[in-house]
Amino acid sequence: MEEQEAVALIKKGNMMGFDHIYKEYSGRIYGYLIRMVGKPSEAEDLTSEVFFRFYKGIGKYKDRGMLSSFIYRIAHNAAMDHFRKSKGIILSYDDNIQSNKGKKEESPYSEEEKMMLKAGMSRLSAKDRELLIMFYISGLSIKEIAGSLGKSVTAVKVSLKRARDRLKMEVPV
Amino acid sequence: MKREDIIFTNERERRVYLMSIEKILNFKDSKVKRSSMITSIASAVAFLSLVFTLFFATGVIPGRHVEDSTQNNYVEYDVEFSERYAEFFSLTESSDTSDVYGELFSNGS
Repeated sequence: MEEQEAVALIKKGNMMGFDHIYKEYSGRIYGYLIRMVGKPSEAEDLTSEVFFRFYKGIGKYKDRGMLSSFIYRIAHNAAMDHFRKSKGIILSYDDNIQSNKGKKEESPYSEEEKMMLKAGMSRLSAKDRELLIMFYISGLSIKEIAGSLGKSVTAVKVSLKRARDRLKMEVPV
Repeated sequence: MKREDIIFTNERERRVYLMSIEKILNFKDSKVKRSSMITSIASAVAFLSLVFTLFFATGVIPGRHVEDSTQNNYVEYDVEFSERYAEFFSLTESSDTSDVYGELFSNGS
């Protein structure tokens, strides 16, 4: 089933379309959110909130737009709401997260390097971390990130470069 | 693909899915309740307006009588006022001032 077909089904009130989109995106959205908020229970709550908001707001989605940007924008807003409620406290950054297929992601880095990276990511601002997660972990394109954050492609490129530089400063190699 | 065929990769995926579905069902339920509440309020308002219209038409609620009495008072006052008005003018016309004016005009010409 194509994404647009699934969206059309949801708009008609058919939950089969929702199931398809959930299967397609739930792992990625959970991965993004747990890296943002740190706690698995909170990430689960937020993921369910994202899919609920997605269902509620599907009428606003224009077919010509990118669905990934639309869903990530909802996830971004949910994360920001969460930070506002918890007064912006980032609890931890945990990268031991299972991928969509239920297997741990293969990494070319040693445990020590991973620990340093985790620590560096934890010290970054929520904005920087979000950009790095979206680009390097969720695998979104610059255009998709721009769409989900409501920024221009150029602005995302610049912000991403700055976030990368700040991470380099946090993680001495 | 049937709805029952959805296969979850892990327990977390299933748990989050059920949480989302629960929220969606609650949302749908509240929407239905809200629309039925609006319908019942609208029908209650329509019923009450019908009842009041009937009461006014049959005179059970004496709305017209009150209006008539006010109008009578106004008419009486109006008549009294116009009588006084007429009286005033009749007095001025019959007074000497009109003669003075008449004389003035006749002299001027």
